[in-house]
Amino acid sequence: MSVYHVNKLLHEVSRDPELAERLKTQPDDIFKAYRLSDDEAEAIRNRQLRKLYDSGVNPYILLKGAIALGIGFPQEYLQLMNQPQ
Amino acid sequence: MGEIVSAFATSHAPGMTGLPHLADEKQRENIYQAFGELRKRLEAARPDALVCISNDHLTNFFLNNMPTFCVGVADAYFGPPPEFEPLVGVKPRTFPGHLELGRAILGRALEEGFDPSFSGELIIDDNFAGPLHFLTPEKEIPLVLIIVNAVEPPMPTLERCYQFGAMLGRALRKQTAAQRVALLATGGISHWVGTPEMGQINVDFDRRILDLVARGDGQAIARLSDEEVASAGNGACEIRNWLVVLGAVAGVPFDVLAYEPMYPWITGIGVTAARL
Repeated sequence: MSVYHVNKLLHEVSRDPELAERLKTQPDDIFKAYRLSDDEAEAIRNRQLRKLYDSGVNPYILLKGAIALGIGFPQEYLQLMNQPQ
Repeated sequence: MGEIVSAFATSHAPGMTGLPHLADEKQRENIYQAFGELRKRLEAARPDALVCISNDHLTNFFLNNMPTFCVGVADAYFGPPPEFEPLVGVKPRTFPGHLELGRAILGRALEEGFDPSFSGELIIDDNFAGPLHFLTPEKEIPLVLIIVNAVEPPMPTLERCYQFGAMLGRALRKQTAAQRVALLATGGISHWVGTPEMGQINVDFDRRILDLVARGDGQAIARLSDEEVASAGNGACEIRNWLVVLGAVAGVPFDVLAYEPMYPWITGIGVTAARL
């Protein structure tokens, strides 16, 4: 699995409010459709932004995706980014 | 034969128009006044077209097909899109495009051995929406948009961006589609977007860049190492956009009309204009 698919999911979430909503209600279906590994799915589920960033997710996409998932900008985002994970 | 009548390089940041209330009033007004001065100079130069150079923030292009350079060949451009509107705080609108000038630039690029992609539909995000809000709030000047990859490595080298700008300068001087052409690059200066350091500003880096811009010394900026640029954040990669304009008007000194480290806008904001 490559980080490409994480980028793709977060990118599309940032532009598609319906997808962002479905990611909250039916995450497993979405993770499967986007071919995410268990590790990647867990990181998104648990809002482990730093782990996603360290794995190579594009920071612009990560920020836009996080905002679309309701993570507050900038305080909550920065808090999650700087949490040891 | 065309003539470059204005050349500007400025920062962009959604907060510039989206979060004015969070900024220190004096700093904010300094920046707004500098943009007002650009608008005056632009109107006095009476351009037939405005060529805008910046990166896009994954708005038009994704990692499945990311152009290194892309030239817009459209008779209209639109923006900002819905996901950017609340951040940028300006109303979406349609901007006229200068299709023939876009084609002339694209043709010259290919002749000279640059191989940009081209697009008949480019959405404007915060790259141009903010600066154009200040520069062309009423009078519409037909645009050509040029997109440079400054958001996902590998990116064009700084030197290549400067050379692309030199080619753009030759393209504009030799084409006949638009007699009087203005240039606007936006991006930078120091900032971190979406990284753990987001919110920091590297004032020393910003002042160094502005000193070199003031001297018209784009070549010195083009020689910066990737590490030096990274010391000012992933957003500092956007000085590539400035290098395109610096290459197009090589050697011409610039007026630095304003610089402010705008922490609420997470960006070191510079506003500059070539002494043409």
